[in-house]
Amino acid sequence: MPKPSRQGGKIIREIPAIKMLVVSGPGNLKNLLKASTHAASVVPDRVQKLIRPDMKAEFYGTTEFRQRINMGSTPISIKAPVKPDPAYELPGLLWNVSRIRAPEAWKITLGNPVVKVGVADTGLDFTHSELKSQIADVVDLTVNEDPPLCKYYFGVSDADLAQEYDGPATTDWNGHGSWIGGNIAAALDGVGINGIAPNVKLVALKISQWCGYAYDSTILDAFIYAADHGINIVSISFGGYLDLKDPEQQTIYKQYVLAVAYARLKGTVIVASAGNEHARIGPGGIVLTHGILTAPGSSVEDYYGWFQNPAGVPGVVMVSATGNVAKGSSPSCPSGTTGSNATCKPASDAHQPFGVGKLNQLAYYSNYGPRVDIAAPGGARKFNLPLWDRGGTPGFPVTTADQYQAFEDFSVTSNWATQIPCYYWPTSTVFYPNECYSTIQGTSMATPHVSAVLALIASQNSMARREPDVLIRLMKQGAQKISGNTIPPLSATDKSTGDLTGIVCKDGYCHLGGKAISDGDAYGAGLVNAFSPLGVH
Amino acid sequence: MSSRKNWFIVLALTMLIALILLSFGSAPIANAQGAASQRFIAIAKSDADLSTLRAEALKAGGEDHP
Repeated sequence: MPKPSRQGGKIIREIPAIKMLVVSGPGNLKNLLKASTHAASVVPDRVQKLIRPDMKAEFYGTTEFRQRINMGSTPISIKAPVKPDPAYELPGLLWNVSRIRAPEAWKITLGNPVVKVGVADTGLDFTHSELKSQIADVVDLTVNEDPPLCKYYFGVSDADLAQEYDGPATTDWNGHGSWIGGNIAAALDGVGINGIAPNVKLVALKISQWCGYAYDSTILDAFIYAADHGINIVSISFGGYLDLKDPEQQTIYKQYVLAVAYARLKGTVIVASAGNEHARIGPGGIVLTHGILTAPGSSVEDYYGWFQNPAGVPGVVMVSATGNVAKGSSPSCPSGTTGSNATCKPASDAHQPFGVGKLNQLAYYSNYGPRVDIAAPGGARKFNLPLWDRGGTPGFPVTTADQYQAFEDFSVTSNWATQIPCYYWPTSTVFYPNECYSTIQGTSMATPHVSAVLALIASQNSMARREPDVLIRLMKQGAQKISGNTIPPLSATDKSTGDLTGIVCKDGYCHLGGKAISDGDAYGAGLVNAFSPLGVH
Repeated sequence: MSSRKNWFIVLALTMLIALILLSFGSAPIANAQGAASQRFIAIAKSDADLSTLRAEALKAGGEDHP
């Protein structure tokens, strides 16, 4: 090793389980450590992004920051106490929870508070009435960001937002994490919704501030923390793609492999989103198709031969997303019904829904392929097509055109959310007044269904609680076998304009087309089932 | 109230510019470097090497983590 000189810098964290130091400092310090005979490798700490509720071009369609939508009067009046929570009285709203047979499972177990689910995400809103009683611990791993990623890219950190809005810095300033926490374990308390496993406990493993960016090292830290602190399941809806031909990226991938193996050995299952690029994913996470879902007018990106992570990493449970029911087009549509949240799709559109009337079709955005372990309802627009092909509405409460029917998935979101729209009712006998709920879609939303089901299985099987192999086997054995997926892959050759936008798809990969994706590729072991695995011992 | 509104507009514009820059870069989703260029991961050959590597980083002027 060269003679040390004063280089400056900081050791940000040390993760002995995977023999890793995270350091910030000048390039000289990096070179110095690289030259050390004790270093296997020294690589940049890269940035991952959360798996957006939809693909980025759709998500960024709205630029409004901290969008709050007043829903006026309560949808219905609930007088007598109901079990489950009253939002289940709104027909079609929580279709996703019913679809995985959770209400039947609740007759057997609501979960055991000794079972902990870590939500590795943007945090959990511990001020939200649906979540505050459910959170066992808040671990803010972003405090060691140096510089804070959101501050670096956007000039604003969570601490800044906390000051601006007089809220806690460690809460969820994005909204994504709280949605996931609510789906897993929102309180069963006679108000609003309850989660799929309402009696298990949540741990906020906050890996990202409001903007949804996280360092690889922070994600790895979350996995190791969970393993070392007895967290049974980690639900992560973050990710990206690594080019393993680049030795530095290969090193990062190997660190993920080591961290996941360590977690499994310690009894922690990691459940992750397949991704929203509608790409085919093979063993180890390798991308087997060219092109990812692309907005017309944008250039196509190609991850062929790259590796999806962390969902693709061996030992992680990879989750694909399914929709509610694909609705069909109409010979004519009244004015005002065919916009960006279309409730009616003209039969004259060039791009028409697939599998009209069928349930549980692969969502148009979901990754798929032989690597997929299991599918869960992540929701999809009403016509299960991209926004620009007039894919349709998320459903209630974005629109009441279909009464309370949601096509995407409904849960709580953070009362401090800046990135997920907050729908609230000033007065309500159904929901907590003035608190935030939202309907969104994505493999991010599918993933917590699986995490919650694993938590129910762990609750019911004390002997298997720290045995990831057994928990995963029971979950897969009990999955609902689904056949008849009609959703095809992306079309490389369809370069026509989007039905809604009229913008040309210059490179292809904007529209679906071709032979339907196989059931095995779409669903893995099947659609996750909360009920059946509880009887399999 | 008006200063808060202005703040929203500035933030929204900053976000848009940053997102456009990220979207049009050749780097893929997992590859938003920039800030990451000054932050790195050092992997030791063994547990014993990790302690030594840490000591070397400190000796070179790195501050310890909190």
